[in-house]
Amino acid sequence: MTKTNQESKILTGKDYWLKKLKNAFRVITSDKIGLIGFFLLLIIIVISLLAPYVFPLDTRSDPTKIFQPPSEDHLLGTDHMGRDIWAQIANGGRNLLLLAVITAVISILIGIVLGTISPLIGGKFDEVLLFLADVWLTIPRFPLLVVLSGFFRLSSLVLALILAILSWAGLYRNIRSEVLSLKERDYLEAAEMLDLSMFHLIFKEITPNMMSFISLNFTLMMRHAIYAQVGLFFLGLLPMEVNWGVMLNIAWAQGAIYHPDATMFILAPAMAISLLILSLVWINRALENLFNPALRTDKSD
Amino acid sequence: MTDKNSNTNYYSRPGNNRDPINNDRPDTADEIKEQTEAQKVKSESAVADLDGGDLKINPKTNRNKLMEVKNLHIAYNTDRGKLHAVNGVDFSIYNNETTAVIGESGCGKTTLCLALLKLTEKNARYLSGEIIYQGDEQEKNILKLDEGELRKLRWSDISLVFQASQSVFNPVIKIKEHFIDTVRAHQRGLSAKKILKRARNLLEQMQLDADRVLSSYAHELSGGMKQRTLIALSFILEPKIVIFDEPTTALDVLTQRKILDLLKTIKEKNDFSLIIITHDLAISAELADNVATMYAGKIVEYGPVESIYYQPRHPYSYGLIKAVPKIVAGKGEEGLTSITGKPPDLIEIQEQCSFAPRCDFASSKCYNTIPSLNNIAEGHQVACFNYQEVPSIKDGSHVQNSD
Amino acid sequence: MSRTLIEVKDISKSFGEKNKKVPVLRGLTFNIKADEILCVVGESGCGKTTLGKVLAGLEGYNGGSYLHEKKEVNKLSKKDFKLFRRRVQMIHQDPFASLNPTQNVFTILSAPLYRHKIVKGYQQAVDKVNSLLDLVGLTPVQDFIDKFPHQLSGGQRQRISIARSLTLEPAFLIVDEAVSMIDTSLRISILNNLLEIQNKLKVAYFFITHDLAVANYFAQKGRIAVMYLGKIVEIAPTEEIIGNPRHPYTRALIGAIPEADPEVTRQKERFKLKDSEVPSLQNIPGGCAFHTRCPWAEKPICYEKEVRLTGSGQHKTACHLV
Repeated sequence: MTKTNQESKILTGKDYWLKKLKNAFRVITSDKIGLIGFFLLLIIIVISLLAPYVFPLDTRSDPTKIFQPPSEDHLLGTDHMGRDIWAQIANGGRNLLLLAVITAVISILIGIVLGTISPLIGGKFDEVLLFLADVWLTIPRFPLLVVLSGFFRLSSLVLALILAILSWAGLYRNIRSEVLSLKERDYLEAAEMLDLSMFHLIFKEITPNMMSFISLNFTLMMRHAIYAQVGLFFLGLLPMEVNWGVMLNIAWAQGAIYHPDATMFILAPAMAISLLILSLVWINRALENLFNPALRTDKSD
Repeated sequence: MTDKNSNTNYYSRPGNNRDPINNDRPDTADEIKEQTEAQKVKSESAVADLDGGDLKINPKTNRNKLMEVKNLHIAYNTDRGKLHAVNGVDFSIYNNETTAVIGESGCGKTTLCLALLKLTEKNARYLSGEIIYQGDEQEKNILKLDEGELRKLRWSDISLVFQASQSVFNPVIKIKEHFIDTVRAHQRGLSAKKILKRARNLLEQMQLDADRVLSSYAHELSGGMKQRTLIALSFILEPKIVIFDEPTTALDVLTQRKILDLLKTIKEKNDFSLIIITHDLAISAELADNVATMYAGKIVEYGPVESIYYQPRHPYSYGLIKAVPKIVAGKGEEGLTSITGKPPDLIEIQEQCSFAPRCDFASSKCYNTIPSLNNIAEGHQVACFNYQEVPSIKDGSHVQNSD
Repeated sequence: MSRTLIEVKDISKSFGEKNKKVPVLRGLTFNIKADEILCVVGESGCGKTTLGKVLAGLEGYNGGSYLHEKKEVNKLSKKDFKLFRRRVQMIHQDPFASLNPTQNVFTILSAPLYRHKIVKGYQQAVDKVNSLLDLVGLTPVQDFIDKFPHQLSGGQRQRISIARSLTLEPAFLIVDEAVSMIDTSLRISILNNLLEIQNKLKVAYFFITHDLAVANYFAQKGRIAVMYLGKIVEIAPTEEIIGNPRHPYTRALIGAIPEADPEVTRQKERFKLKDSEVPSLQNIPGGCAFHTRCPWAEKPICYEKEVRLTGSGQHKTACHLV
């Protein structure tokens, strides 16, 4: 066997992840509810992405078409200004989703960095951080958000950052406890004996073993972010845009609930939000199955 | 004790003379069934022969079969396919004898012992075979009983103490309640006083302070005490068969010694059959009357403990014994070797002796035919074509407690 | 005679807060030479694993001294401690927990090589990993180099674990119950592999086990120390301690071990102890800690007077009566 021969033989971590992914796919698809969740989310994402081209938003008001019931022209009827509701629904999820993803990414990153470094360094640093997190958790988050957005005009990126920062404590605690249990594993002790770097410990030893846990928290964070946004939009504390939360706000303010033909105006955004959350909940459930060692069959590989 | 002459005699006796060559592995379920029938007939004829009276007098010829496992196949449904954990096991449990099932992790020994009570996990499938239990009234095929009948059988006829099963004690219930609940689940209307009297007696046999143990919670007892209490509990309904899965594995040497000694005394004083599932050859050497060696889902050798340890006839038994370091017995530690290679994947269906790739005695036949378990001496069966080539470890009669 | 590598003197270690201190090591003294095997035997809770961690530098110690190459370990400078890390390695008990499931064999073995600049570049790493796998008997090498832990058997995983501990070319290896979770049929080959490595690389072993039979095999040319409640009760060359045990605890252990030989094990001479319950570490008996179980214990000496490890030459015992 020549050396070059062997060089090409060594497979990298990719191989492992491919296998792992296949396994994850199998577990998730074996759970019907989880599968439905994935499809639901996929449909919502596809509609949101294609909407500007397929269902373009017509912002002009048409007084002749106010509060029309669903019809062929207007799948879900029209709003108080005679605009198509379906077009608004199709376009109103994009920013919500984007923001949720950005929030989740930022908060998970904060969570991983703090949650791994803190127990690895340990001692006073860990204690102080844990104390801060406990204090932080006592702050009522939503009212704080309301106050903040009342004072400042928040762009969506800033909102995502604020949401992420506000939720660092919970995530930090979750990931910290997971790392603490991983820390007891012999392979981390072995890494300590071999004097491997902190970077190696966090990103090569610990994080890869928490992927399912992290993805679980990811969907959880997305849900929180969506709730928070919808709440703020509903209260009218964020800039007006086409958005399910804003739609709810306007429908409420325009008295759509009192208008029998306008039921869809208030129901459609509410349904859209529920479906999005539901898809995330179901995906979460499938991910929990991934967590369940009885369903994971790494050993039999 | 066996000697070579009697080996050959018994082997050549009609009725026991099964030709290993013709025992091909069955491929379909139908063939398995056919084989089961055939083996049933064969084993019956073998029993008839033993009762014929033309044998040397040997106390073991009067053994009463309490339980008989016939051609048992159990597979687990896994993602990769069927995992054949028990792959055609035939063996019997005799009245008042201790049988040890030895084998390494993944050989199917735990599945086998769980199957004796039909306690296997949900994804286990009983492909074929039967487990006949000779209860008080009539023969029962345990695999055909429903949950209710099984519940009656478990603990009162057959009790099972799992590996590390000290956690069976509910932490918020006193030990005393465990005894009472267990008995009442099977024999209603017995007074607590009577139950506790029996429990006290058993605990004292286990050399425990009965009153103290009965009135304490599980966490107040040490590991060894819990294990002893559990053993006492497993005897409370006077079962006919007691199964211990790795009875002393997690325990320290001195605690283990205590439990081994207690088991021996309780075995002497009471009438029951003991089945010990263990990977520890020393424990089976200490307790067993008969030893069954299991490999890759099959029992590859079964026989009296002395035969297995001093004149093993299966290369795997031989290899195992040669792999265990000893202190007093094996002063010269030369000759200790490991078995090379690793056990087969039980997903793949083997068309050969499953031990052949690791075997020093394998011939070409071993790679295309599956050997079946054949009698080679009174009460000694082996599934190997080349069993005569396997050397003896030592002659049993020469063993003295020399230092 | 080879030089002394490890000198431990009266070392002690306790866990817990000030008023609830639990002593785990209560003053142990021993040396290990540069190519020696020292086996430590004892029951669970005797402190053998903690002792291993202290020697590995994973745990500190409260009292006494621990000299590695004549240097006090808890006073090492940062630079010296890095060197200590390279010289002292550990092999864990559980081969299923000691390897990261997300890394393949090459990653596991090459990470420390890169980190400590033992190899430069990919090609050197491949060569070094190959030679390590060859050393631990995982051949042909190309069958193993890209495998993930879950694709290997317990014995193979333990060999990877051994190979990893050898990456930094240590001089002292702490082996914690390395074969207790390995199948019986494979144990001897792992032990033999460790012995071969010692022959080739001239390393010293500190071998922790609960199994006297394994210790007897592994330390044929070395020594065995028997521990009880955080102390060494007897230490001697293997043949001496097995053939001529002095301390009642050692005698009890040897007598209690069942052997894989029906007649021997059933006729074996037992050394009966008084009471089989081990005192808890929070409540260690005064005097000789063993007196609660010792059939020889005499008043008042065993009940009141501390014992020290004494004896002439290599065979030392901590007992007032021998």
